[in-house]
Formats: sequence, C-alpha cells, structure tokens
Amino acid sequence: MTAKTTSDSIIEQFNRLIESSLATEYKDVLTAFKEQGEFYQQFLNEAHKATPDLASFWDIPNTLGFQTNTHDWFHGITRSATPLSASWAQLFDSSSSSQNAQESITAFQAALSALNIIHADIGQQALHEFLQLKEKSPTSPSNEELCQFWLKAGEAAFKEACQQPDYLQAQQALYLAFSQLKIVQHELVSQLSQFLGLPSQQTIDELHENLHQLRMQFAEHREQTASTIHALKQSIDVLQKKQ
Amino acid sequence: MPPTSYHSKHWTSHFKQLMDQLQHIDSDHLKNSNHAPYELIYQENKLRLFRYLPLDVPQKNTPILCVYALINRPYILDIVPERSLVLRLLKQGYPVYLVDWGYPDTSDCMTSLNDYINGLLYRCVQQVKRHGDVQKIDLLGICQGGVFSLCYTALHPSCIRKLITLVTPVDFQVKESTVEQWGTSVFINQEPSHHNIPGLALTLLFKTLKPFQLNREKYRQLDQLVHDKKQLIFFLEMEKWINDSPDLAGKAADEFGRSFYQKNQLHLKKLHLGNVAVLLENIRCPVLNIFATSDHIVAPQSSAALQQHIPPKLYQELKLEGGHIGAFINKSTQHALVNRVDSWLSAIN
Repeated sequence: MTAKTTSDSIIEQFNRLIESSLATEYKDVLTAFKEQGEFYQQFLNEAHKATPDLASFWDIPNTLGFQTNTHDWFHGITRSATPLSASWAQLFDSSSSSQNAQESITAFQAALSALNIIHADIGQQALHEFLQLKEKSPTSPSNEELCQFWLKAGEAAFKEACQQPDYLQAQQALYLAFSQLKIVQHELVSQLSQFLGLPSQQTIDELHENLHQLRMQFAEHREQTASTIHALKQSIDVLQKKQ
Repeated sequence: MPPTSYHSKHWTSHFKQLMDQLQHIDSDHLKNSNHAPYELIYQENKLRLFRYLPLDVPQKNTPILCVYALINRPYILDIVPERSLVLRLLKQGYPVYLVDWGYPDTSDCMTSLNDYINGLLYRCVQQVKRHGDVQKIDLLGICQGGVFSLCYTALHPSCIRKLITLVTPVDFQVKESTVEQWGTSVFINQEPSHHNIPGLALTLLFKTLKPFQLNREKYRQLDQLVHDKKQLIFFLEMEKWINDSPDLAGKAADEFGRSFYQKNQLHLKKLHLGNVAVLLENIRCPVLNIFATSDHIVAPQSSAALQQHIPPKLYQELKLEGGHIGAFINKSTQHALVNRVDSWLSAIN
C-alpha cells in the first residue's frame, strides 16, 4: 500500500472543505488561491524550460476567469435564442426577432473576435517585455523575480494596448453588439409575454415608473412632515424657555 | 530542478495552513465584531442612514455625513478596526453619519441622478441636521459619492459648512485615465437604457483595469497571509467587499455615463439636475480635496481639476501616496488623512 503524498492529502482536504458548510466566501477564496497556485506552478515549470512557450500565460480572457476553450458562456447565449419546439418556432419565425437575434449574435461574435486578436497581441507584447526583463537581470532570476517580471510585463503590455484606438473601437463594438443582443432578448421576451398572456414590458416599465414616482412623492411628503414637526418642537421649546 | 520544487513545497505548506486557518475563522462573528456599532436613524426604500455610536471622548459639534459611491458598498470606510476611517473620526470626537444606498432592484431602475442628489441625499442631509440639531453639516464624499456631494453643495450651499472630497473625479476626460477613456467609449452610439447595470459586470470591469495584478498576483503571496492573522482577516474582508457590488439603477447609471464620462458636463459647466444648472462656482464653503497619486480608477489630474472651480481662499488639497482605496485604508496614509481632516475641520474659516 503506497502512502499518500502530501499533495494528495492537500487536495483531499481542499475537496472536503469545498463540500463542507464553510462560508461560501471562504470557499471562493480557497478556490482562487488553489487555481492561482496551479497557474504559477505551471508558469514557473515552463519558464525554467530551455525553450519556454509562455505567451499563453498572459491570456486576458483566461486571466479574467473565462473558459475560452469551451466557449460555454457563448453557447449559452446562442442557445437562449434558439426556438425549443414547433409552436415556439412558429411564434418566433413569424416575426423579425429571430433574424435580428442571428444578426446580433454574429455582430457580437465578430466584436469578440476583434478583441481576442488584440488580446493575443498583448500576450506577445508581454512575452517580449518579459524576455527583456529576464535578459537584463544580472543573475539567473529567482522564482520570485520571474513572477515579478511576469506581472510587470503583463500590466505594461495591457496598459499600453487598452488605451489605443483599436482597443477602444473593439470594446465599443462589443458593448454595442451586447446591447443589441439585449434589445433582441427584450423583443423575444415581449413576444413570449404576449403569447402566454403575461403583462407586456411596456406595462411593467410603466409600473416601475409609477412606483418610483409614488416612492419619491411619499418620501418628500414624509420629509416635509418631519421638518414641520421639528420646527414646531423648536418653537414650543423657545416658548417654554420664555415662560 | 530546485527553484520549481522550492515554489511547490512552500506553496503546498502555506495552502494547507490557509485551509486550517479558514476552518477556525467564523465569518458571522467577523460581521458582528469587526465593525464600529451604529444605529439606524432613517430609512427610505433601500436607502439606510446610520449614525455611528460616539466613543467616550469630547464630542465635536458639527456632524460629518459620509457619502460613498453607488458602486461597491460603504462599509469599506469601516472595513477592519485598525484600518477604519470611521473609527479614527469617532476617536477625534466627530459625530459620523453614513449613507448606505442599498441594493437597487428592477423596481428602482427609474431612479435618476436628480432623485439621488436632490431627493435621497437631500433628505439624508435634512435628517442629519435635525438629528444633530445643527443648521449646517460637513460632507465627506468619496469617489462618485464625492461627485454627488459636489453637486449637492453647489445646489444647496446653505446646508453645508465644509466639504471634503476624497478620490473624486471632476474632469472626466483626462487622457491618461483608462476608466475615463473606457467610460467615454462605452456610451458612444448606444441608445439610452433604463435597465439596471449588474454589479457583477462592474466588478469584472474593475478587475480588468489591472488584469494580472487583480486576478492572479494578489493570490500569490500566500505566505504573508498565513503568518499574520490580522492580515488574513483584512484580506478576507477586502475579498468580500470587492465582490459585493450592488446593481446600478439603470437611469442614474445611464445619466452618469453620458453626462459625466461622455460629455464631461460637470467640469464644462453644462450639467443640469432637475432643470437647475449645477455650477461648482456656487460652492461657497471651504473645500478640502484629497486624492491619491497612484489612483488607477480616478486619475489625480481628474480630481485636481476641482481647483479650477473653487476660489483659492476656500480651496485646499492633500495628495496622498497610494491607490484609489489604499489612500484611505492604508494605515500610514489614513493617519495623514485624518490628521489633516481634523486640523482643517477644526480651523475657523
């Protein structure tokens, strides 16, 4: 029987904690430390190789937590615009919404691709910067120094790129495509509401507006009343002091 | 290879220590014991107005009303005792009040900037005046809360004795600022929308400003946390705060983006709220403008632009070494900040 390695027992303890009643916020912290620990381990392993392949370690979407390989989130968006049955198909095909949805998804995908190209350039630029920092180092850099170089190179490359017109244009196109998607989503929901006999979006918007106005008017009235009562109390205090 | 195994061995040991420690930190206990006690003095829809309970020290007369941004939560001002700006002000004897804007839901999507400034904030100021039995109060506005405080003071100058703005943007079109460039570009060609902005999207946006630092590097220095419990608790509280971002009421967010970021109306003297022009020149009280030299969210030049609107005899500024949040929660900068605030507020102008 082979004794468990320290690494195995750590993973077991981690899994036990994740499945335990530990506060969710602590589970999130533990998960973040575990993932980043693995990331830096992989980075250092690669950095110590004779011919390292490091550009992917500055992958922006991955750094932000998106699983870029699976594109699960994107499939989720596209699935949400897909009719589920014949009656639904009839409902949506009878309008322009289905066409709009396809166009919006295409625009969104194009904007995302444009941004991804820039992100790939950032990775290459960061790698270039990293190699320069490594070369300038008077001695063979320690693990700590390699991590510092990685950070410095990545942030410098990102800062340089993210204020350039092409980045801003790509980002703007992405937001625009996303807002178009939201408009289509509302059109679809509106049709669905009509189909199911639910209140329309316009009715809900009017309710929100009226509720908001009521809340504000009530609060103003309450403030005026409180102010009047306060003033009266002060007047009474003055009169009592005079007596 | 020694360097790699060195990293792995130490990381494994520290990660185990972290797991062991987290099992013994009660998050509910932290919530209740780690913050200065306060009382609720006013409530309106999701908004709450709190007064922090005074400490046993000689009390100052004029209350300070702290106005935080709509983004993230105001408890950053009292995050842990040793970094609590609120606690330091209480120790100086200031009556401290705090506006908590709450968590807007879809029914709040029509709340406008005018509602926030001339409605909710106006009523909070009146409540504090009555509660403190004073005619004028001091305002401490932080970040977007500073923008609201500037607008409020310009519109209602008679209510405010002194105004402190902390890491507050004034010129929203500073070229060096990534946030301001992104904020400007987001609203170009977009139709006005009153749908709430999800807090999660805002958290992601802020984490994108320094992607490698904020998403990876901060989880690397495990050894510093597991050997210092106070540091670990501070880290945990900060993690909670960073990820605790309320949705933004759609109408106000849209107005803020267009009027401030895209059109820079406050700085260009073209802003109107409730059909009234908001002119910073109308501010007649002393203003202390505090900003951070390494702020990656509000560029120091953006804050410093306030000087162009306030007469020199009323204007003072304090530059702090640090970032947007570090400026007021780092122990050293907080010490300098509170000393200056205390002497400035105590001075007879």
